[in-house]
Amino acid sequence: MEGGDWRNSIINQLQTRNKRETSSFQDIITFQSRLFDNVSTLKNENLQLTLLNERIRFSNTESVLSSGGGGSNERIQALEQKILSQQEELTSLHRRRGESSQQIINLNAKVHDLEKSLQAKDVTISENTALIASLRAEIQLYETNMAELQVLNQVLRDEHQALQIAFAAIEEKLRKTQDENRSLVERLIKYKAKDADKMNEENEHFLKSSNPTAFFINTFGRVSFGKRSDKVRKELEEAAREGGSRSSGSGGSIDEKIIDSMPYYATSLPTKVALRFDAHEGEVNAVKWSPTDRLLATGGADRKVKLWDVSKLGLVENKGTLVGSNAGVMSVDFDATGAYIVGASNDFASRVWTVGDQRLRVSEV
Amino acid sequence: MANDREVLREIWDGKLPICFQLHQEDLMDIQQPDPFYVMVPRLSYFPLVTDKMKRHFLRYISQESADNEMWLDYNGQPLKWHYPIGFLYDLYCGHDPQLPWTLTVHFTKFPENILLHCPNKDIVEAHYMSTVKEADVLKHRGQVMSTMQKKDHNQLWLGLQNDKFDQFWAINRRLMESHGDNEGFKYIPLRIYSDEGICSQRLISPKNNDGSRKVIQQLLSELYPNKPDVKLRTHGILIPSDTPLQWLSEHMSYPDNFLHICLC
Repeated sequence: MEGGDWRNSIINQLQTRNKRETSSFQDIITFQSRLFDNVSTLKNENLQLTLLNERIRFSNTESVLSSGGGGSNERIQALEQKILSQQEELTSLHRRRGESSQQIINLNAKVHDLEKSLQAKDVTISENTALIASLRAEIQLYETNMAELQVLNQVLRDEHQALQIAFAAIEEKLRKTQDENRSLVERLIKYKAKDADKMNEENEHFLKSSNPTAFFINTFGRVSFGKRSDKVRKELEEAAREGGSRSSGSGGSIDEKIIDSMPYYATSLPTKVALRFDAHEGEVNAVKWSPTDRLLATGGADRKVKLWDVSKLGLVENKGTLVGSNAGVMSVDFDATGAYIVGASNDFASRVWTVGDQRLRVSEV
Repeated sequence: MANDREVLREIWDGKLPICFQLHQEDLMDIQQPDPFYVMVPRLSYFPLVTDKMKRHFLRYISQESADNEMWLDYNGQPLKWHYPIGFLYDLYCGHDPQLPWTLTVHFTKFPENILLHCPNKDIVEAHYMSTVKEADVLKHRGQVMSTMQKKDHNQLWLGLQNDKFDQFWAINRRLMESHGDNEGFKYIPLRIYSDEGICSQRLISPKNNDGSRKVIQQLLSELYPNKPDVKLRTHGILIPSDTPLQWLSEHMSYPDNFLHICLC
């Protein structure tokens, strides 16, 4: 332990310092803080007590009647107060009663009015019911009337229908009789015509056999007619004769000569298709028979020339296709020996093929 | 070795009566709040002792400023929370002691340029621990702090926070031991403040060049050769001029292991 004046001085100073700063204030501050805490707790307590007090007072006002434990003075006072309040209540009740009685009178008057109006309404209702009953009876009456009328109407309609049927039958009968009449008239006319013809015949016979002049005036028309018919007959006979001379071949005019030079052919229109086949894709532009064989050459828009064998009846056989044309073939032809074929096409060229080996021989633009 | 238990105990027991008053601008209640009196240890820090006071004043301020950080001033001078309370008192009231110490409490207009923010007590602990480390670096090149375990650090802090002398000194004792054969710290962790609160910290060895112990008188003539009558105040007392520096550092350092000394 070191020691010296300086240490004693320090210790003394520290002690005086602590005495001055600490111990003199320690108690006061502690006491103050305790007081402080006390105040705050008391404040809290006070608040709680006030709350409690408030609550108790509130419950007291509610239970003041039931408690009744206070002094008699208080009780009397309370009772007096109560009586006072009840008297007030009574007066107010009286007032209210007066008001209500007034109201009752008013209401009674109203009830009277209402009853009156009710009676009036009853009267009108009974009147209206009577009216309704009479109207209903009327309706009944009209309804029966209507039914009767309907029945009558029905009867009339039936009658009308029956009459119409009768009318139709009569009309039919009329038409039949008219037809009969017409046919009878026709027959009558026919018989009349026959009679007339017979009369004419008789007249003619009479004219031919007897003197014509005797009946000249009567039968003039008929005579002239007879002359004319004779003339016609003569002309016809002449014509027939001429025709025969012509067919014998001894005419003199130029026309007759031309007609004579032409041999007669029995011409007939083909009526049945013997063979039918599709030769080309597209149009067929040209067809030619071979001069030697039973061979047919066709040229089509598909730039081909085709050879067909049609020797077998009802059967066609493609003998070959000649290619080389650059456009549709418009025309074909064989040479005289049937060994070459020439084709003309739309590409401004003509080409020659041999039939035997079907090769292109010449191509000429 | 800090073995003068009597001195240590006297220093530890030093307390200050403080009267907190709410600043008028922050008052939002019709009723004027009562001032709040409390005894605080000189060695403690303000954030550790103001919880109850803060709760008391919260009732009287507006809702929107209730979440703001609280700060204190004395005579318009904002108080830095990272200095020990006793040192602050010596600094501002050393010449003209008036007790109880009346401080004003503010909840608005935080002086950003002067004070550090202190959102919770962890910040105080971090600052305290870093100061202890700095002192240890000066004294033993940081060897003692680095050999301590986390629980030792916690014990040191909790001892201070809960005002437990034995718990604190069980650990702080190791920081005050001197190592090696030459008996004494390498340098003395010492901060000297002028009246305006300006701090000066220099490398000061506990020994003179010839190996003898350095005393306060020698230190003063070394630091302030022009001022012969300068005096030093710490813990509310004037230091005798023949006190050895080594002993002073061992016994009269604040809990952060620094000697905070006011010039007067």
